[in-house]
Amino acid sequence: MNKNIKSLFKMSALSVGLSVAVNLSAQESQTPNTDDDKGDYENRLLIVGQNNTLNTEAGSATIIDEVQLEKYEFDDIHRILAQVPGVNIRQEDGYGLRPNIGFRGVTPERSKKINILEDGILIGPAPYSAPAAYYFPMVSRMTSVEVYKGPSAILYGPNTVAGTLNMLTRQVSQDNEGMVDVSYGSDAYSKFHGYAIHNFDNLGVLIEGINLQSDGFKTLDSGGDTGFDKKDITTKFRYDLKGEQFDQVFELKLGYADELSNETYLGLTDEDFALSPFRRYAASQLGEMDWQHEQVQFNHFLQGENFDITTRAYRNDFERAWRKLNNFRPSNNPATQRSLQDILSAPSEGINAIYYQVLTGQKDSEGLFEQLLIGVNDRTFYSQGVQTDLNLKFEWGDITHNIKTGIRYHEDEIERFHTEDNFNMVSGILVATGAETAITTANTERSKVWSIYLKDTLELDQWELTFGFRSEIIDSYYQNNLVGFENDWLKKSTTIVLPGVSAFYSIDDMSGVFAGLHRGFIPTSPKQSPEIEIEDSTNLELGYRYFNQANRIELVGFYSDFDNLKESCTASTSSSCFSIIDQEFNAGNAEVFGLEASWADRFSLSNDIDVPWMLTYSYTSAEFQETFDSDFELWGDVSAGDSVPYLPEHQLTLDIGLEASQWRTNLMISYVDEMNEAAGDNVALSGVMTDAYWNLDLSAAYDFMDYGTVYLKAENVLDEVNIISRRPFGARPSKPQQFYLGYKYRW
Amino acid sequence: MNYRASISSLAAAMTIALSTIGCSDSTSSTAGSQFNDNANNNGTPSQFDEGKLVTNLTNNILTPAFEEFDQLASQLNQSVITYCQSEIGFTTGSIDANQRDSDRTQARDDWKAAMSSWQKVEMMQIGPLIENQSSLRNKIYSWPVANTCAVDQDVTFFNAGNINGTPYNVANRVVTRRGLDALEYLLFNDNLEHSCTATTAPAGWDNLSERQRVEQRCQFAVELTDDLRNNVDDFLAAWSGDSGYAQSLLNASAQPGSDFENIHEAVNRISDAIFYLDTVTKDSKLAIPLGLFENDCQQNACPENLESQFANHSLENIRSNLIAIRAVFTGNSDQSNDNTGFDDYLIEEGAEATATNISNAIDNAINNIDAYQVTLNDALVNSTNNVQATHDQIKAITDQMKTDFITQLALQLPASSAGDND
Repeated sequence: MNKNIKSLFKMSALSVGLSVAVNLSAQESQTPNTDDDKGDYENRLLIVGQNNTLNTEAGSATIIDEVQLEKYEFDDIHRILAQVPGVNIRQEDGYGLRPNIGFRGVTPERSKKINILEDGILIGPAPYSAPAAYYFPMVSRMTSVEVYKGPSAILYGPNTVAGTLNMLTRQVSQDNEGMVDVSYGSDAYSKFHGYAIHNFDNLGVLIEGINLQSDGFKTLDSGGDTGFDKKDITTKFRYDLKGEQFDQVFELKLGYADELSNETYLGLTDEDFALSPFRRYAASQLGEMDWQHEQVQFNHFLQGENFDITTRAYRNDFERAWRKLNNFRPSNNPATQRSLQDILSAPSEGINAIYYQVLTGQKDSEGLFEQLLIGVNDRTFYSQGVQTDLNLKFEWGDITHNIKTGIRYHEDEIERFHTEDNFNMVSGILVATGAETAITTANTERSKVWSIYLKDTLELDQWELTFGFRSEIIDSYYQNNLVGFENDWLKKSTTIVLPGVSAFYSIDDMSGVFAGLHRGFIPTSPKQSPEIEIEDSTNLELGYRYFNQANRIELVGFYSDFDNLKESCTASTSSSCFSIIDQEFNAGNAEVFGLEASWADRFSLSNDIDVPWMLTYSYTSAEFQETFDSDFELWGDVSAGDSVPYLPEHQLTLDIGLEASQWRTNLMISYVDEMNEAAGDNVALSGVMTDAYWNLDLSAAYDFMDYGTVYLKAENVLDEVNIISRRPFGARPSKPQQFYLGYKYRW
Repeated sequence: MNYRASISSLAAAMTIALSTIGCSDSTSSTAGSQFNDNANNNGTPSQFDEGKLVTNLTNNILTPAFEEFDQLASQLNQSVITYCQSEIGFTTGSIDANQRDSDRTQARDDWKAAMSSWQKVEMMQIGPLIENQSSLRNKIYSWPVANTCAVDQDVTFFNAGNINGTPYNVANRVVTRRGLDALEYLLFNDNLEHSCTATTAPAGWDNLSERQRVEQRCQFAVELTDDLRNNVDDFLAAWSGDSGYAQSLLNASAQPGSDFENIHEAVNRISDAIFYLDTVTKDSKLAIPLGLFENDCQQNACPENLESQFANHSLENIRSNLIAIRAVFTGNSDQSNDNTGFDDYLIEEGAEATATNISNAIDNAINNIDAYQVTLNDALVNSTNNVQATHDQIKAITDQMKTDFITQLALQLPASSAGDND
């Protein structure tokens, strides 16, 4: 165990030790757990919580619970989030292996502008030092997905501009139970998923494992798999300790996950897409992502009569090596240098035709300029910290105060070691030239962060008024690790205070209106020079919420005024980013506004059959307010009024089903508007749009009671194939029609 | 309700929250000496008359260089026509070998003259030459993207008059099959075998007689010089006239009709062009053949990777690059008494030493090249150290350009030179 972990767990042990001491002195007997106890603890791992009453938080909140998740058995977070208003997505590989998720108009690239939490803990590989979420938890093992946007975002840093996505893993229940879920589908898709929970008095143990794999739906020119193989195993040990004054929960969570996927950044020209959308060029044949993720988390929960304290210590290690085509060998001459995006955007123009023939294997590499660079971007991350959150309720005068406060010490680091090898295309096969492997990037970025927040919600008759702030104190360090660049380093300290205020007015027990105002912030990564400004915005929202059992309505209008919109250049953005990987850019003022609407209800078709339905709609407008020229491929030469890329103006989802006691069937119809692939002029994808598209997913299940459940699923029933984006390089298809058959047995 | 308590409670909460708004954010940093070595400069106000610099360089350096190449391209066109007629006459017996050889030598000399002139233009790529992904530049000269087999194939296509039934039109052909690099192969390569593999060999070439091969090559060379003239005409049309790019440069000092936001941006575009010396002259023309970067010879000295290897014109090309950068840097020409150049700009900014150092480094590099007694090909094989010395002399120029020059004049380094290949 390294020094960092030792210090981390020392702090954690101190915190837990103090509270154990308090509790033990008061303890007289241990009583069996109750469901309520479990619920309190679980609610602290959630953002919104499992409310069965009107939620009075002044922000847009969506919870997709286990029942809803099981309706479609989706493995792709993109498809799950189609049910959430105000979410903008850029799909990439069709399986959602590396999601691109944005909320309320922030660009979705690698989900780096939202907070991604698992059980309330930052789960990105290095959320401060390298926020691009190349690791994303396997959603198939989640029991709840929450999306929260609005002023309460200040509780969940560092990114407070857009919102927070929290996923809840399976909790150790009081009952001894288990499940086996086996599924098989198109393109040799298979899923093996199971868990078992056993309780030994107050000690509960959970073990859960899942394996997903597929041969992939694309076809390589040179033959071979285009699929993936993912594994995930989680173990939890939970100990409940009840006392007279305090109840406590101790929980240890251990996790391991890995992925091997034959993924590439290389897409197709539009012409080739029209002919064969699932084709993959010969030059992508060596693409392979290989990662491992390890997780240790220790939680302590202490609950008194009117307060509770949750303390969490966590450590996540992530290693990834992605081998893929980066580019052609630089010709050193700007006149003949082309990015892969340039080539695929105009494959017959000038010398692009030569490069295109090599990419597709129609032509052998002859000159040096026709050599292909295959890079391995090897990165090692860790993310660790200790976080304590206090919830306190008391009355002062006639006002009830609900205090939420917390402190977190967090460290994360990315160590990059990127290499490149030269290959010739020979008869459609990539053959190494034998040249020495070049080290293209070797550096380390590290952040050490103290975060505190305080929020007080005052209950005044029908009003709930909330005042709060969050502060982030970030010390970051960048070091170039290449030999001879020892003096290429930067140390930065950033302190920021993020206030937020909101109000909720209860019209009656079932409905209310709310308003909120908060400051949005996204930090710069450690290697960005101080001239690169933080992303800074003022966010306003107004909303209405109605809750009456199954009938739930939420209508939220939002407006975000960005003082500075920033974006970073990653390989996933464009091949021209390789020489300036992770360089960040300022865009200055931008405005985003929109509307999020959702309405869910159910009615009875007969005594035996119910019809649950849900409709969500999002309208988003995001425009730059300044005119500027940028080298960043997503922007280019931008004029004030140009739209921010990858934001559909309209999105609509209808989820409707038929439910009986032993069977159910569900249909999800979603529409995503076209999106522009670049904001301004003079970049490869200027003026190019993705396709607007409709998607239909259908599922059905029959419950054989004691003998388990059989389920059927069809994704993309209409078999519509559209260009979902032209990034990283070239047009990429949506997932084709897929069928799955599964069997699930619970005990 | 106890309103006093309520109000004080509310006030306390508001104080906690809102007092934080008053707190100012802060950022501080310390950096190592190598951090952001290539950071962009956003420009600082200058007293130097940048308009005068742009005017002199446009009127007296760039435009004359382009017009000179236009004239030499026409001359090349004529001499290749003459040479080809001689080859045909030689076949029929109406022209003797001496006349044919003389005409061929003239065509080759005119190619060399045109290439030397073009190598100056290479250092001045701006406006129409870099628009549309350098389409015009690549049509005129596409090195290092060159392919002799592609030229061999088009000799056959041109002779047949069609490609799979579609009438042959050189204007639609990929740039590796046209331009000065293709002409060099046709005019200087005495090997009449094609340079393709068995699968890509030009149809029927092996069945042709030597005379047929020579004639087909020279006839295609004529077609390419016609194409060259057309492309140069297109370039000059886009450069000249009231709406040409030259006028836009001249108007950059705030007059309407300019593509530039300000005169400094126009200066920066010219500065971008001369960084050709760094990535192309130094790296592609010298470092790769020397084996300092990966090449076709396992990073050993590699004549196969030299520019203009059929004409053995590599050294002259580099010399022309240096002559051109000296003209742009000093502003000196025989066209005018105005000699406002980048050196004057540096002096005005108090960087006289930098001006002198760069000027001396350019002269030293030219002197180094003039001292060669053999071709670059031979030197690379027999006296690699001399070639390394030439590389180092040029690096002495580019090192200062990438640091002091950029910094003192508040210019932005072109992206192609931002990465340090050294």
